[in-house]
Amino acid sequence: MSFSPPTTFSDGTVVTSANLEGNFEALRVYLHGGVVAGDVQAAQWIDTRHIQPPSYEPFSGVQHGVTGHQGGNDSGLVRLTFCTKYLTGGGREDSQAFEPIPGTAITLDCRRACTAVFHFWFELECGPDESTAVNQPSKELRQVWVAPYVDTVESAFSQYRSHAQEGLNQQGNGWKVTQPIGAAVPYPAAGAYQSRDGVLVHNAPNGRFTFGLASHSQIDRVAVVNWGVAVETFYL
Amino acid sequence: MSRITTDPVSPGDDLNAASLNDRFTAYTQTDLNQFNHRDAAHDLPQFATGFMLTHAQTQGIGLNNWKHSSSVTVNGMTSMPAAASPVENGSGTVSEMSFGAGLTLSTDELLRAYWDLSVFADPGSNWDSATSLGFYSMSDGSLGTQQASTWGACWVLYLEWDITSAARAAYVPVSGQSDFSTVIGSKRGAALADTRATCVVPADLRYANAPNGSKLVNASAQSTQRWRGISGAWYYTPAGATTIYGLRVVIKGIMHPHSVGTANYLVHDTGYSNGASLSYNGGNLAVLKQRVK
Repeated sequence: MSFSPPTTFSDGTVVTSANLEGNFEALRVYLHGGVVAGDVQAAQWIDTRHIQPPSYEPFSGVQHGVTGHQGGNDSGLVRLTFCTKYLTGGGREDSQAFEPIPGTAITLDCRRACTAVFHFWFELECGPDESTAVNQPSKELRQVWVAPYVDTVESAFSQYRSHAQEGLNQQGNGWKVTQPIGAAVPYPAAGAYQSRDGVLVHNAPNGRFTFGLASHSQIDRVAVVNWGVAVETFYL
Repeated sequence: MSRITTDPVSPGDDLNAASLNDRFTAYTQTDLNQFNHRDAAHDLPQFATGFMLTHAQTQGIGLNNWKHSSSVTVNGMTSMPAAASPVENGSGTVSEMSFGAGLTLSTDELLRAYWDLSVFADPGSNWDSATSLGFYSMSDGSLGTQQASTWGACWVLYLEWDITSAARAAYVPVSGQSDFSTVIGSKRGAALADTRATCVVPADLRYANAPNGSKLVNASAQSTQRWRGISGAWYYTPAGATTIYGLRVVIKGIMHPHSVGTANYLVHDTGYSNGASLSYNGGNLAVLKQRVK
């Protein structure tokens, strides 16, 4: 059905801004998604070259068009990465350090101030950390936190630590010393293989900014077995 | 933008209803075609902000203490019906997301909600009590029995909204969500079809050596889960215009899977719940309202 303005004006009536804006708004709605097949001339009059395509960034998997950005990236088949306490305070309870998780960052180039939504998920395989160094929590209490950051990794603590998702050190009996060598209790049964996800909504100004994931670990070895990050931004 | 073949307004022209109407009807002068659409495309400058994403709001919830030096605790529910516990800041202030005079969704809009929280489930010691639903009883191979966890015990976190007034004093479960108080035989709970805004958190984790045939020789061991991040999501497409005044996350538990015939439920497990608790710290609630057509 072709566009039909909601207000048809009559002689002698007052023209109001509401009526005018109502017609404009209805036209915007129509153009944004109200055009149906019958409105369009049947004979071919438009080719692919007449439509400006969104730009696509293959490494981050994000496309950019008139409404904003959409897309994301994941760990794929084998893209294992790690978190470790040896980069974030050695397991000290008073440490607040976060380190970036490789591969999980996406930089966006925004042409207008926008609302950005950062989706993230990850699977952690934690420990077992049996180390006995001083100033650490007991091994049953050791955790890893993964939090999003915007622009600076430090913001994972200063602004977004309430978004942090925890994983827990292996609660079993540590490492087996007889064959087959490995964790004494399977990771899922010992609460140490865990999937987490979260969403961060961020109001971004015009220009470049970066979303990513960072970790604070009290566990010596945390494998980030799988992960995925995705963004959507809205200019409109 | 598209071009419209209408003469520009010139000095001395009369503005009347007919000429004004022409300004809007001119777009339908012919079919959308090469002249009025292809030769000039729409781009970002032609669109106003707030057209697609009509509202976005975020809210911290719970007690923001990321290393858990203090937390808020909800006890397991042992008598029915039980009221849900809203997530609060540890001082009794409920972490509700207020929309002030109201956030109105029209039928061509979609509401998306996401939340997360750090929680710590303490299973207590009644997982295998006589009234608990959380265990199987197996032969131990010596004329005795050995209990094994079903791994089904869980806490539920779900969304409530107030769609009555800005006073926000009448919270009820959101659309598609039950309050887990439906009578199901001798139990209370919810059909799984009515849990669209529910996040499920394991209440316990026990493991044991593999059974020997149908015999479970050794007792199971408890694997404390401690703190874990959890998350939930919900969306809503209104059948008619709906105004929301507030949104919050609430907690109930311990629940357990249950079935009647072919229908599946989550029901309160009051036996397991005795002595169990769920502690929580901080998290976030985010809402997006966007036009979908």
